[in-house]
Order: sequence, then C-alpha cells, then structure tokens
Amino acid sequence: MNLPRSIAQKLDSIDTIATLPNIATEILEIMRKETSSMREIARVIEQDPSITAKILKVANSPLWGYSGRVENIQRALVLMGLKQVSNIVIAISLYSTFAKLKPNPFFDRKKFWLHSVGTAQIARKLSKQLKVNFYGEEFVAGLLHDLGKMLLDQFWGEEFKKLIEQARAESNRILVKERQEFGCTHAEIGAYLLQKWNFPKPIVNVVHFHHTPSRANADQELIGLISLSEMLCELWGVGFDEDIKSTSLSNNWSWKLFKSRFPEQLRNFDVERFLFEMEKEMENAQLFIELVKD
Amino acid sequence: MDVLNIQDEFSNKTLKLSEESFLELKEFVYQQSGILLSDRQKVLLETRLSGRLKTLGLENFSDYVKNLKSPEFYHKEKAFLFEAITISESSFFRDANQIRVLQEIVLPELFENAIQQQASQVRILSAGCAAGEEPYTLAMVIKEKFSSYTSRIPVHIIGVDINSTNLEKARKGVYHEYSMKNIPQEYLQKYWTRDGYHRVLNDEIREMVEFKQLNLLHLNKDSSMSRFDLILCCNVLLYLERQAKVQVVQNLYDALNLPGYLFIGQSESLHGITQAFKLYLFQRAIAYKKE
Ligand SMILES: C[S@@+](CC[C@H](N)C(=O)[O-])C[C@H]1O[C@@H](n2cnc3c(N)ncnc32)[C@H](O)[C@@H]1O
Repeated sequence: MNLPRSIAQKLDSIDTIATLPNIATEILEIMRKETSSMREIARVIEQDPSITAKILKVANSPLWGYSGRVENIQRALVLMGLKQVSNIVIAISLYSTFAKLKPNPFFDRKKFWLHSVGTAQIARKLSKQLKVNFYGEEFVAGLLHDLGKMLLDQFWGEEFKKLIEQARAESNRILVKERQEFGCTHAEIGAYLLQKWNFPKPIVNVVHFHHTPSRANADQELIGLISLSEMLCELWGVGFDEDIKSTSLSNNWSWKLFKSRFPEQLRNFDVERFLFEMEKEMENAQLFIELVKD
Repeated sequence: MDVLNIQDEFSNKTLKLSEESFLELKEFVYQQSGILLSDRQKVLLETRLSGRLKTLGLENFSDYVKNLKSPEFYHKEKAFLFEAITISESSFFRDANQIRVLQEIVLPELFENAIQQQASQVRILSAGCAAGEEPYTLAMVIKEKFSSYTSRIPVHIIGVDINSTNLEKARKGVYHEYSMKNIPQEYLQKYWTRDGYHRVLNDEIREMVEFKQLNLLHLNKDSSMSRFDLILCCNVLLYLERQAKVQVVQNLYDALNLPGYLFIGQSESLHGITQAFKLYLFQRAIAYKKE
C-alpha cells in the first residue's frame, strides 16, 4: 500500500488504532496457521465474556437463525464452522472498538454503521443465493469496506468535512476529491491499517479495491461481491456519500464477473426480488447493531 | 357462548394469517402477478380479507390460500385480493421514488437526448392510466420542472386504458380528494381549483395529455402507439395471465424508441417474463431500458 508519507506516519502514530483488540489479534493468528483447532479458538473467545455473550446472541438471533440452539461457543463452532465464527468474532470486536471513537458532529455515525453492516448483510445474502461460500469473510469485509472513511473523519476531521462539502457543491465524486486532497482515497487508507494489523490478504484487498474492482488481480470474487453489495446498499438500503445514483447491472464489472464465473446461478437469479427483500436485510443490519452494542 | 367467542368479538372478528399461510400466499401472489408482498402487509391482509373470507364461507386463511390455487377461483378472486393489497386504485404522485428518479435522472436524460438527436418531440405513454392520475402527475412535473426543455421540444403524453369509464373521468379532470393526498402543496395551488368536495385540474395540464381507449394486448396493432421515449405501465401487468403478460411486455418493448425506458409499479417484477430489456437500478426504483 503506497500512502503518502505524512498520511502513513499519522496513522502509525495514533495509539487508539496502533493495535487491534487482543481477541481479534489472537484469532487472526490462529487462523493464519495451517491447522487451527476448535479448542484453541473456543479458549480465546471464552476469555472475553462480553464478546462470548454477543456471539451467542447473534448466533441465536434471526440473523444466523440458530434460535436457542447455541448455548456455548463450542456449539457455535460446531454448528456454524470455525471460520464463520472466527470472522464474526473479529467483526464484533472491531465494531466495539470503533464504536468507542468519538465522531465529528457532521459525520453521521448511525448511518455509517447501517451502511457498513447493511453491506455486510447484503453480501451474506448474496453469497448464500449464489451458493458461493466465503466462510464469513464476506461479513467482515462488508463491515470494514469503508473503514477508511471513519479514519479520515477521526484524524483528518476538518479537512474531510471540507472535502465532502466541496464535492457536493461541485457535484464531484468524493473519491476524486479524496485523491486530490490527500493523495489517496479512503479505500487505500482503510486497507493500509488492516494490512498493518495483519488482516488476511483477501480482506485487505476488498477494502483496497472495493471502488476499483477491475484493478485487483486477486480475490476478485470477494471484491466483486462487496463492491456489488455496497452498491445495492447505496441504492436500496442506506447510502453513505458514495454518490451512486444509478447503475445498469449488465455494465457492472462485478455483475459481469459473476455472470462469467457462476453462469448457472446467475441465470435464475431474481434481481427484482432480491431488491424488494432488501428491506429485511436492513432490518437485520439494525438488529446486529442492537445485539453487539455495549 | 364460550370464552373464545367473546374474545373473537373483541378482536373484531379478524382472522389470523399464520406465518406459514402468509409465506404460501406471498409465493403464490409473486408467481401469479409478479408482486412481492412485504411482511408488513400481513396484518393489512388480515384486516382487509377477514370479511371476505367470511363472505366466502371460509374459516381460515389456509383454506383461502388453498382455494386460490384453483384457476377458476383465482380468476374470480383476483380483484378482491388485489384490492386488499391496495394496488387496484390509482392516485396522484403514487410512487415518490419513481417520480424522484424520473425527475432527477430519466426525464433530463430523455430531453437532452431528444434535443441532441433533433427529434420532433418527446413521447410518453401511460399504459393502463386509470382515470388519468398517472399521466397527469407526469404532466404536472414536466410543466413545473422542465419548462426550459419544453420551450425547445414539445412533449406528447398519451394515456391509454381498456376501461372507457376511467377515460371519461380522466378527460373531465375532476377528482375526489382521497386520490390527491400526495400532491405537493405548490402543485395544488398552481394547477387545481376547488369545487366543493372535488378538485378540478386546470386546462393547461389537461391539455397536455391525450387519452385513448385501448387494450394493451393490441397495442401493436395501432401504429400511432409507437416511438415512445418513456412508458409507465404500473400496477397493470399483475392482472394478466402469464401469456398475456409476455405479449403486453413485448408490445411495450416494440412501442419504445431506442433508447427508451419502461417503468412498472413498485414491487412489481418482470423476472422470467422478458430478457429484452436491460435492468437499471436507481435509488429505490427499477427501470427496464431498451438500448
Ligand atoms: C390498478 S390500475 C393502475 C393505474 C395506474 N397505472 C397506477 O399505477 O396508479 C390498472 C389499470 O389498468 C387497466 N387495464 C387492465 N388491463 C388492461 C389492458 N389489457 N389494457 C389496457 N388497460 C388495462 C385497468 O382498466 C386499470 O385502469
């Protein structure tokens, strides 16, 4: 990731984001190993009672639909799978970390989270319908795709605010403005931090390329999934300053990718119905936020 | 009278629609009409259809849904069912998202296009226009927001419907207030006058729309029904059997210019009916584009 030096230096020097929450670091470490054991992961999660409680709440909620059947972490790992649970743990721990940061008044935090979790939910539903398993990576990736925006708001608040106002006044794309003002975009800033935190490469790539999926040369399916989900969230769920007003699916890069990779699934895919049911996903996003907040 | 019956009295004799029956009904309605019921409509259906079930002598929704699956029953029941889903009646400014998208994106694009191509006019069709609520809404929006274009290129709006009573009413331009609750205040002041409980649409808007009686199944037989830049066919296709729907959609496609847009009703879908169009997604609105 090539960030302008001043930007990278500033990100490196900030204590609150210097390290990940412990639990996330440990989980990521275990997941990097060739073989990660269920017992190991369960032990790490159970050390954190608050996260444990949240995981069980989420697993038993309509979100994951194991109503009442998940009474402990071991059970969650068996029912849902190691990777899936690990990714939810990471998602939740990051959510709580960032939820503690104080936003600037102009930054609509509620909307930001609805957009992020909404994108994550839509990505989940999309991967389910396409029958492509991303093992929960789609949820973390969706949740984090706009991380850079929060960082810009946190640490470059004044400049970021001005930039957004200018972009609106000039009806310019915020992305273009970001590049002009900062020499990089929120996508690169978010990816930089995740890389520093040793996040799996696919997640870093999603965050890096979610606005420019055609430039990625790895993890295209996951990137395409999130890029598409974000767009759907912008248009039919909750938008967050991405100035997307319309799109033709058949010209959309991610859509075309899916059409070539999963022709069978796409042929019968009912786009209209998916959109009509998106309201449900936004309700689910709201529910997730309720369940994991402190 | 036992306790249960007394409770029934209190709950106004509303029958409960079980989750299972609702899902079954939702699937059925979607397959038949392309309309997707939302979960919120469950309670609405309970209140609206309970009386109907009683009239039919049915004791529960599960029987009702079972009956719907017989084609003869469905054919007779359709009107009641759709009325309960509130898609049968028309109103002005019915779908705010659609109107916003038309106003902000589609109409400007069509006007620019037409001017650039030196077209003689911009042509709009409201297919299944009921008593004119939809084409008049467009006329008002165009009058209000697009005068800088209409001074350079004329707009021709045509409303067609199969029902002549509807069209008579449309031509008169006199409406009861209940179909008008979504009309923005500034439009009401500018384009309407009051006459007791009714409101009368001004001539300048009425003159913008031409009405014609026509069955959409035969749209292709009328050569004047062609070269449209925009067609709205909202809450009409749901009444048609699959084959008729395919035919009407084909007719609409053929009646469009290249490029041209087709809009259908909120939560209506053409999935599985046509592949001819390109799907465009806007903010909470869908369009099918011929391009
Ligand atoms: C529910 S209304 C919709 C009115 C308006 N488009 C709206 O969305 O508010 C349906 C209209 O379609 C008309 N219609 C139904 N089948 C038709 C057909 N085959 N050809 C023309 N009009 C038809 C009906 O007469 C009725 O006025």
